[in-house]
Amino acid sequence: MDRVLGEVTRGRPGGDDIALLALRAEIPDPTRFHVRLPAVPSSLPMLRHTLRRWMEAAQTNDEDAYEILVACCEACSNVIEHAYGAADGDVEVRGHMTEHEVEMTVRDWGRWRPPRGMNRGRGLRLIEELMRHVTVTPRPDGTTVHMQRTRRQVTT
Amino acid sequence: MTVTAMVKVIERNGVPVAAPEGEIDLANVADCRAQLISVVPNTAPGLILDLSQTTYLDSRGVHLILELAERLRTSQQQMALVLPERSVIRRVLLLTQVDKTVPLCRTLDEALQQFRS
Repeated sequence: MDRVLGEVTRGRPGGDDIALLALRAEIPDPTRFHVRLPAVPSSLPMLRHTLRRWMEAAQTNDEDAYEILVACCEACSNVIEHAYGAADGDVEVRGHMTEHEVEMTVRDWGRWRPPRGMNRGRGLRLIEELMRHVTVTPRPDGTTVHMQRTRRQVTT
Repeated sequence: MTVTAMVKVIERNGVPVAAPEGEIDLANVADCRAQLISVVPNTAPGLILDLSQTTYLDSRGVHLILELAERLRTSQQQMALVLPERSVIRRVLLLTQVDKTVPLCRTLDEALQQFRS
């Protein structure tokens, strides 16, 4: 670290603070996806970014990629809004991509409260339209949304 | 990583045209809503929402569009959407039947036609 700082400052003491950021460029496994994030709205852009990278590595066609992205983010938005109330909690997204199918799971460790208002079901309906096979399993220790569908022709 | 939807506003033939750039989701939909309602004066014939620079939109965005349309209808103003043919968000708007409530136009000129009646 001293060597890196030495290179940057060229031996001269700088007047400004220096932040050193270490990044690890992981090559995503194109068949598997897994992240666990705090269940807060600001996690959503990060989730989309990592999901997009994964689907790109898995050579997902653009339409599929967008639909899977929306379905997962809808499920996570539901967790963020309904699972924990004002308490802290996490949301976990797992994915499995085979040649013909994609399977995504979104889980939390909270308890969903019943939907409120007329528009609350719209997110889940959209997930069902986009993913074909959708199950929501509430358990005492959390809720799991499982989504599965076939993939369109792969773009090359 | 925070993403705020930047809403760019121009005016064509007296109609405000608002174009949110980037992604609309749970994280920024309230901010986006505040920007959009502030661009339609009571004297304007309505609002054109140009989604050609919007790269992500889910049910929160859909809810926002429908809410805006409802508010404008109440104040006897119109609303039209601009969405290029190949936009990735088209499918979400069709699945949620937004096109049944708000005219979905391919170009800004087409959207402006809606206001010439």
